[in-house]
Amino acid sequence: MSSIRHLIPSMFHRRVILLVILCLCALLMLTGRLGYMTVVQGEEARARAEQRLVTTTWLPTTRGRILDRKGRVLAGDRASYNIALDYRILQGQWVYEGRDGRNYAMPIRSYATRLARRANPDIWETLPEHEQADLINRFESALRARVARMHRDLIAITDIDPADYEQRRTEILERVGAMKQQIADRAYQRELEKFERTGRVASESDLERFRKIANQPIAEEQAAHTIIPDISDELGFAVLRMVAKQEPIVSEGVEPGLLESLSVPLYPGLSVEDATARITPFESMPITIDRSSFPPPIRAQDPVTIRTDGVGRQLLGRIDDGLYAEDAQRRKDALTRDDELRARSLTSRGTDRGRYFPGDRVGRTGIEQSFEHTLRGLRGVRIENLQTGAVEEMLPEDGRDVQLSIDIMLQARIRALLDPAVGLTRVQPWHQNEQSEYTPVGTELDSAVVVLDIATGEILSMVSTPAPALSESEWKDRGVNTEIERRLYEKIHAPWVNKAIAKPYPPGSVAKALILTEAAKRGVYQQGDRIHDRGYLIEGQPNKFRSWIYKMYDGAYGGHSDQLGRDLDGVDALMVSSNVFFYTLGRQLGPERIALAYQDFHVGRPYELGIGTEWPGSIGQFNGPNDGSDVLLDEATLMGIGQGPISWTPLHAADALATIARAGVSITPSIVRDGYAPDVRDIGIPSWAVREALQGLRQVVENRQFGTGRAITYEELGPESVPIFNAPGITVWGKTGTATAPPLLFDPDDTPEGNGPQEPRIVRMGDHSWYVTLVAPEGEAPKYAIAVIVEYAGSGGRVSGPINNEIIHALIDEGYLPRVDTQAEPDA
Amino acid sequence: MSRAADVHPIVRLIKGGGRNPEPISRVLRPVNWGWITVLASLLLSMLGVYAIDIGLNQNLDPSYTELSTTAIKQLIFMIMGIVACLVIMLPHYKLVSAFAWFYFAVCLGLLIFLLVPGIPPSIVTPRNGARSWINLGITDFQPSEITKIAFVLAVAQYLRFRTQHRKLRGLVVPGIIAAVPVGLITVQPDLGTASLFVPALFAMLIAAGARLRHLILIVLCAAMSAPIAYPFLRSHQKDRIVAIVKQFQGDESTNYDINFQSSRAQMLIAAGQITGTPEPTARALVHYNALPERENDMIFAVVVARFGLLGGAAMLLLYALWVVGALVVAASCREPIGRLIAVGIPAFIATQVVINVGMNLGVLPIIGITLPFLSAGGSSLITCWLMTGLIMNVAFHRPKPPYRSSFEYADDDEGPDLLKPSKPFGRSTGFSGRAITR
Repeated sequence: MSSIRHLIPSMFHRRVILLVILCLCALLMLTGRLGYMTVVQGEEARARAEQRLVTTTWLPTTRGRILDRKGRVLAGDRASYNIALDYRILQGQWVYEGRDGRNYAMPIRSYATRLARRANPDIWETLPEHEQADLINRFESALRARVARMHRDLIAITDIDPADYEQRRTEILERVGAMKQQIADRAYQRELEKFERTGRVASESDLERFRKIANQPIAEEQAAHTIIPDISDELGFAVLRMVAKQEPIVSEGVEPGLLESLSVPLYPGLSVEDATARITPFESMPITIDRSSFPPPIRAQDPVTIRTDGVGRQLLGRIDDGLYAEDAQRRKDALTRDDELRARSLTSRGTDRGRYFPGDRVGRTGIEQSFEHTLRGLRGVRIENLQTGAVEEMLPEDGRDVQLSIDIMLQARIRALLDPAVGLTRVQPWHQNEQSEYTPVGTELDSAVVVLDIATGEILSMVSTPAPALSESEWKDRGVNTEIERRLYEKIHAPWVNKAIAKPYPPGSVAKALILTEAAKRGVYQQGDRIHDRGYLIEGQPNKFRSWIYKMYDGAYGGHSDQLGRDLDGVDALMVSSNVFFYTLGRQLGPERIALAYQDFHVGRPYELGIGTEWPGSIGQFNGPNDGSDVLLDEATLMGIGQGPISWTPLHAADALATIARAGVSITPSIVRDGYAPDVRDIGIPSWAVREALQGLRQVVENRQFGTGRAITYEELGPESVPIFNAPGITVWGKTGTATAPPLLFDPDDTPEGNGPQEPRIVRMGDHSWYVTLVAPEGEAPKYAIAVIVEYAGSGGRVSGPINNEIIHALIDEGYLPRVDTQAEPDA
Repeated sequence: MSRAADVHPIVRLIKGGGRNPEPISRVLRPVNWGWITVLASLLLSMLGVYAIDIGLNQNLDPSYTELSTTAIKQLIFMIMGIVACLVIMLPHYKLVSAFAWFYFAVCLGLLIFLLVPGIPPSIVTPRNGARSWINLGITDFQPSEITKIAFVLAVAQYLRFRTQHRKLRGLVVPGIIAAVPVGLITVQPDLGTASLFVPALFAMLIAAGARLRHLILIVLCAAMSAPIAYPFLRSHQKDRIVAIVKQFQGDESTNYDINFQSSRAQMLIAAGQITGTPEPTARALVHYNALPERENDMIFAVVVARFGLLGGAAMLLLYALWVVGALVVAASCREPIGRLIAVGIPAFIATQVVINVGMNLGVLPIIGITLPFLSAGGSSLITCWLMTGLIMNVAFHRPKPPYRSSFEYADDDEGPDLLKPSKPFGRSTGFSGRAITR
């Protein structure tokens, strides 16, 4: 201190220096803060400030359609908008947008006062009262005129009857008014009771207070209400554009600089709400079925009409408007993956036009999910730079259509055929189902069907029954009322599973056709080879690896060689479905090569159709390596007849026979026509083996004496059998399969909360019934492959055979196979 | 200088009275530190006209080069201000300050007039609820602005020969001198202007040799009694204080209501970044971000949005030059009233700048205070130029002999040895807490 005193002897000067230091310190601190703000927060703040220099208007778009192979719309948006008005506008108030973007309201007179003040900022207070009133009146009448003009415009644009419009307006006012009254009355009573409970008597001012509390505005009074529902796309856009417009409420006698602050919306309180619906026109329709070709016990000359529901439900999937964080992430992933999609979607400012807004619909299952980003449209956007006036406009781009290879009418027909009401998928006496304890006559059976176009690999139809139930009423229709009934139903019928592609089944004897060709390819079976079938495979072990004929008649008729009087070649073996023949091939192929054989036919690999979960098939353990390394020799032997540790799906079955029909050329089946060439690959089967296999498959259907899938005997018609296939002019190749399935267990008290004391009980048991065919017009090569499986139904020929026959008729009805007008072959 | 010219009334005015035998060339000091304040005033005023135009002229067409009406008005006020500055710098400040009490009384009369009920709104026009302006027809006149100058002159006049203020009791009278205008202006209500008087008084007391410990004691007492005063604040004043606390806590909930003005100003300031934005962008940013009071209290945000950190810092530097220039003038003056004028006036300017920029930067609550020389408004700008004129006046005129080298106390600060007389030093001959005439 004293040194300063000596340095600057004058006290006044020391004090002045103190003041200088104080002042500079304050200014330095402010400069520091300024530096922090501009340098550290600058970039973010600039971006935020510049955001207000642009206005972004989004224009809605339409989700793409899903079409069938003939261009019929299976799912499509019906664009539709509602015009809604803020309740307070209807009430006669003025509605304006606050700084936070929400709507606020005040009496028109008050708003007029606000504008009048704004128009005369400097002199307002000095104006005499009558001049103020004049100005307010002028603004008030302009505001009222604007509201009236809005109503007039809406009536004119939408061409609605003015009386209707007026009525709707009144309805809204009455409805909300009544609601408000009810709520207010209740609130008033509540307040009064609360007060009286304290033992006091309410005075007039108390009552007034309660009335005030009760009169709080309700949500409906501050919300928009639809006044014109369901207007078109075009009108919706037109009105939407008008909603954004503002104009000065008066322009005469106002300083030009003030005009902007006097701008009010042309259509105050009006909003256009998206009311777009996803419609599926073919989901439910009546199908008339000609029963004249049915098995004799249920054959009838009069057709029956069945109402089918959920025709494409499992394929199309469903959409909903609940958004999850994962949806946004998936969208991001799709943009990263797909350059073309990214190029289309992003605006110049890098905003994704296809990003999800609240209320957007998202595909949840099936095609709607897997083709979400194809179907999803891109919003239009109008970005106006307020500073430069530059406008960037991108028109909305509708979502792209997705075309399926499915024929929806064929699909509907097949679904109708599989309806238990028709009779083909109910246990019938002629099925000779041995499991009457679990599936007595009349029991509804679940099934799956795949129809494949052999030339292209396209799936014409894919049906799985029952369809998933979407509503409580659908559950009730199925006789499911309680929780336990529902669990039992889901256990037995698995309605959510698309059985055609997602449920594992043992291939059963259907696999014999492909084992024959694969044995030939791999040198285990040579042209001209014959194998002796004595009824069982291993000398001295007649209880193991038996042929079905040996097993059924307990060895009384020996094996198939004894039946035919010769050793079997491939044709014979398929015709009689010899187990010993194919056990032999399976055993000789061994675990590794039999795995390769099944792999050639796509077992172990999903088809990636894009319609949801698929079962890829399994070789060896479920979810094992699928290469035979975990397969024992005995298991490989069993796999020779499609049993043992091997599973696939109806689609695999149809694909396998189609591949044989193409002489060993595999075309990966597809259901979406996405423009990509199918995966085509020759699996390398010798042509003689193809010929032998097709000949054998033909014999199954054709051979009167030995064909395992040719005819059915019906007790009521005597010993004569009736052919399964009866479409004139159509050649059928086929293979039955009666595949042993594990019993289905249901534990009634095994809930997610824990397992109770009750033991699980068997609810289904026995064999799945396969019949897989190739069909063609007479004299032509196979055109379509049809795979049918019916769960726990017993014999392949007896249950699935007649269904397969009706599908051939359906193909004829839909024009895929020619109708030949000759009398059906008389019953043999 | 001839004798005939010597008696010319203007010369007498400049000399500060007829009995000054010195030739006029010895009375005037043409080369002085005051010019710095003139230069800074000129640059700041021009920046103000430009910033007002940026804030208000929304014609984004680059070919449109006319200034906005308010900017043109400001330009006219600036010229009037310069004229006023020239007029007030000529007569010797001793002459000017001789009527200090009269000016002060007139100003208080005007402040009372504003509050008289029943005056028609055509004369006293309330704005934002404040009765601060008198309508003069062509423009409005804000008496509280001119009161600042009258207050400085009055306090200077009071303190110049006194030593009582070196005692705690002696601070009562200066306190009352300040309390009257502060009270009248607070009632208008114009808290912003009212808040400037106490710091200015303190600066003058410090310069006049009041004991720092007394002043610190008063500040501490005021700080401690602030929480007691809080309940007496108006609700919007409380809201503003709550808003600034919330803002520092990172709570943005008030950004659309009470804190809207401040948050917008802060955003635009930060958006200026280091070098600012091109002119059209700055105009658009200010306009579309709806900055309130952009030509007025928030004009600093406009300046920074346009010129960035560099421009903002340069502007603060100009104020620093003004204030320091004025204080150097005080330091180079040897006569008490000149010294106090040249301390009191920059104290007003500095306080006003710090509060205004502080509220723009979001570190002080919004209390409605203009930025000297920049904010639009005739009373404010002309007052600022009058202040420059007064500083120039003090710088321009040598003291009229005999004068005392004032406020030189040997025991300027606290300490045990302060009671002892210390040696007189320099040309000051004061000791033992007494100022004496040289």
